[in-house]
Amino acid sequence: MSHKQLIALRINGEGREVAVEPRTTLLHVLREDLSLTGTKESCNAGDCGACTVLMDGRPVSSCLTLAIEAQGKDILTIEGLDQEGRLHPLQQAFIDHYAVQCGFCTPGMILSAKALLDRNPQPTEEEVREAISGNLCRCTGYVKIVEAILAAAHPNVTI
Amino acid sequence: MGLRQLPEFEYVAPKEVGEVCSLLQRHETNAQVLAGGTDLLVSMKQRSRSPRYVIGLKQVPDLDRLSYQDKEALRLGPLVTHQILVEDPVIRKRFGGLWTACSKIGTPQIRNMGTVGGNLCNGSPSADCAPPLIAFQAVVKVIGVKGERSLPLEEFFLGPGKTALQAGEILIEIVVPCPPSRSGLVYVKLPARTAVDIAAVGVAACITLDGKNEVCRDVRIVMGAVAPTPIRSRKAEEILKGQKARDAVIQKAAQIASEEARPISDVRSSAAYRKEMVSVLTKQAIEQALAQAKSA
Repeated sequence: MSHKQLIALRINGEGREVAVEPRTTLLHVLREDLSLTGTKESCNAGDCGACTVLMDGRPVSSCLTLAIEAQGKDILTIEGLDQEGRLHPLQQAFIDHYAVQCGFCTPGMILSAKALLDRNPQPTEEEVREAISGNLCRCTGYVKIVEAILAAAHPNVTI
Repeated sequence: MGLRQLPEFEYVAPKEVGEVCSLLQRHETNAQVLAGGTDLLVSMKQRSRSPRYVIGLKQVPDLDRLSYQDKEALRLGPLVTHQILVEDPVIRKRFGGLWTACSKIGTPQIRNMGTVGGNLCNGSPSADCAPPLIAFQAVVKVIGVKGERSLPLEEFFLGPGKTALQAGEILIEIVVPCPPSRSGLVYVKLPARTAVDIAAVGVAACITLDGKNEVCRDVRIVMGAVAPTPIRSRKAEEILKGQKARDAVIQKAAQIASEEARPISDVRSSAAYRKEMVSVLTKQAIEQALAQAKSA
């Protein structure tokens, strides 16, 4: 009944062609077909944010996105953040502020943060917390994550 | 948690509404439309829905249009996402309760994907968009192979997961009349957690004040998640109508609303707690709506 069809995706600025079934999610394509395992599978139901990627600059849950419907969109994964081997300021800030423990929530967190800072370069703490409200972290208690994001946004302010 | 992969299905993305309706008509209960996917795909993973045909709406042009002109109605296509409304300052100012509802649904990710139309058509008694839209007296336009029809949103919900959509029909527009001046529209949501959760109780209040004095000319109080469908508390509305809303009157209305609620106990909340919270939220919603109306 279900047969695969070839679709064209744009991932981290590159065109990628994959053969997918209708039921194949974007999350599955990223991890299994494209070996971009930075995006994580956790709840698989859109509740935890571990599968967050940016689609046309906006955070979405890739576990609830059909790969077929991701065509024609610009998809950014965590792998697309660094610039020629240099870490993105958000990535560096997460390291500098000890905002990473197990690291499982981190890719989704950073992408949600990036989407915030791209729209609102000087967020308040409340705006940061709101922006990451769809990304669960079981390790850190969020404080260092919020500090890291604020530090990346306000590099001249001592946190 | 054990959510599995999606079941197998055929995917079709028609380019016009007529084809969507005829596909739905032809395949009946074997087909479902896909808007944002934040409800349908979850229920398919849980196997509570397993349509053989999934009909994607995103290739049909203009379903995500949002139009509003001063003093005219707000018109939403079915694919308008919650985030589109959240980012619109006019919506925030003029249609406050709807703005609040959309800003509190799910997560930022869900708000970027999920649609107001989908929130209504999923037919959950706790749909956040329902109470404020009903309080605004919204009308929904529905289209099928036989043509278009309109009905008040208040008549759209028939039971948990059940709407007035008939075979072959889809929601094609939500029309929200412009609120009269001196109106306040508020939605208060009580989730089980601070974020990422469905409403355990939701109350919307729309109050229009009379001219210069502070008599409540029009009142609508709508409760979500405390009955098989979103419901109005007409008895509470009657308490306030034609009255100056003093504390005692507000308290009485809140109490009556609580008595009209018929919630169940579930994982989010007990029935008793929900009933108690209806009176708390109704009081808050009325007070906030009055404050808004006075400064409008």
